[in-house]
Amino acid sequence: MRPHSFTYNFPFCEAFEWMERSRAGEFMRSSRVVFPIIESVHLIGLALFVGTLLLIDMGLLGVAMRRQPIAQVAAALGPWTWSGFGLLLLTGPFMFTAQAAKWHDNPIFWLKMLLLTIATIFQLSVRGPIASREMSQAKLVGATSLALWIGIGILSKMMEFV
Amino acid sequence: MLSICQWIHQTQVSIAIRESIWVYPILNVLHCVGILLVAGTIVVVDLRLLGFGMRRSSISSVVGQVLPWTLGGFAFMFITGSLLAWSEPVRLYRSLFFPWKLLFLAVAAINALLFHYGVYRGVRDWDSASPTPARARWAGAVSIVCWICVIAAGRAVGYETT
Repeated sequence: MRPHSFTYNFPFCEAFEWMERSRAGEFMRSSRVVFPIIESVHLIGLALFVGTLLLIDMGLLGVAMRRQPIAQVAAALGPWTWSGFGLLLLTGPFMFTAQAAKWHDNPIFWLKMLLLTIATIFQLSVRGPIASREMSQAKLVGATSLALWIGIGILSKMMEFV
Repeated sequence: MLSICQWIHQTQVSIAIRESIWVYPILNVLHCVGILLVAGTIVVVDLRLLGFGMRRSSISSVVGQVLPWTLGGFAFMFITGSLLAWSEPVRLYRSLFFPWKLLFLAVAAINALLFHYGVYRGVRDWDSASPTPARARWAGAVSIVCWICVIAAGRAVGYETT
């Protein structure tokens, strides 16, 4: 593969090229079916993640799961949200290595990664503890979580078109 | 069948969706959101039927609280999906994976109806039973497998070149 000419001059251009040329990147490009299969697993993880997250966040907002305490819902569904998240984290980087250099030059990709970091920290530090107890700020937390993840979803789709 | 597809292909609506810059991608995104909502929420019910997740809530309580979201997502997915299919019927007619997607969708729907008007009618007798009746467990397992296949086949349709 010829060296990529990068639009931005971040100090880790080489790292991204290296990732694209790595065995993982080569594997992802090795056949027409590899990428769609990994992407399907990514989407299945996403469905699990989105479905359970939505039920909890809508529960925090008081719209869904109204027949039982939201803490109970969060405790039961939380592990499945994280399982979905695990599948996403497992497959996402592989999809990334297929065209790492392209993503490096994509501002939307960086915005997604930034929002993803913020959302994950928010999830671990604020939403988790709130959802496990009944608190007055539940609505605000549910709305923030939803907004963050919807934003990430939109950026993920936009990424492909930029 | 092909002539019907060709007729649809040249209708005003089909041409309009196909040739517009924005309509197709937006419908595509909304369709993805719909399918994630359906699969992601129905899996919560399926897991409960299988005895994983939300075990402290009764079956009828999980079904009653989650199903509105699944049905909402289904309507959303169905409408956007129909419009997408309307815009490229000839390609889908020749597609290898699209019939499989429809087949798994049909099996998932029939499975859900059989469950709902079958073993679920007597849910009072096994609402908190552990393990759940074999027929309920089968319904949950078939549903999960079908939705995984719908997502994978749907993704494959997007990558097909015919």
